[in-house]
Amino acid sequence: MTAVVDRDNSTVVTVHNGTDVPLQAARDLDGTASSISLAAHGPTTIGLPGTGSGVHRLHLQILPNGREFPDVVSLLVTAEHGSIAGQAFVSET
Amino acid sequence: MHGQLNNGLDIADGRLALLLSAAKEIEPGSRAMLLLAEGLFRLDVVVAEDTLRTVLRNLSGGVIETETTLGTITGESILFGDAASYEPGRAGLGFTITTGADAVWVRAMIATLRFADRGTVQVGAQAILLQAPVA
Repeated sequence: MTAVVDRDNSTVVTVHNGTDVPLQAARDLDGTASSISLAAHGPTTIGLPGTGSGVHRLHLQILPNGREFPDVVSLLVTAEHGSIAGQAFVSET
Repeated sequence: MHGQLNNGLDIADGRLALLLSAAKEIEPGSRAMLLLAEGLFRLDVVVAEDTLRTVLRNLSGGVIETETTLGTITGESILFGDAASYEPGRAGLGFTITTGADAVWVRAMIATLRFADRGTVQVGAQAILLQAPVA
């Protein structure tokens, strides 16, 4: 996972799926939940707004997919005024 | 609103499994619900100075047996960039919930980041709930 902070303090988070299989993930961005798919061998970008509430939060829960990706991963990102911090939890199933 | 994500996991032997994760940003000394498993348990946290205290409420009507105390689940922590400035902390918790002949194993990881400029601490957690094999 990488992040780029733009001049307007908006943040683009990129999640790189390095496996041979697509991965399903649950997403919560500032309290709005949805599902996304992380394409195999590629990046998926998620934008965090630079306006509105000062603190923006992204929570991703990446689910296992067979033997290619047997782990569960939770990613927690907090961005505020150009600074960004993240936590990742990785567990085997 | 409690921003927790819940998803079922496919386990090879067909047992039921569930993944929970959530984060809360709290002021030191205050108590917050971190994880909720309806009908099973509720995990609250309190951060006071350098101490992370957990409060486990049994919602199952059965018995909760704590297998590991906070901090004893082993694992590896990796820090990138300026992560050290956030004073990251990490702990683990394991317990079994038994109701009649049914049991559920729970393994939870908890991690903290201190946001000094806001005077708050973010507490994140991931828990796997796994149906125990039939005895």
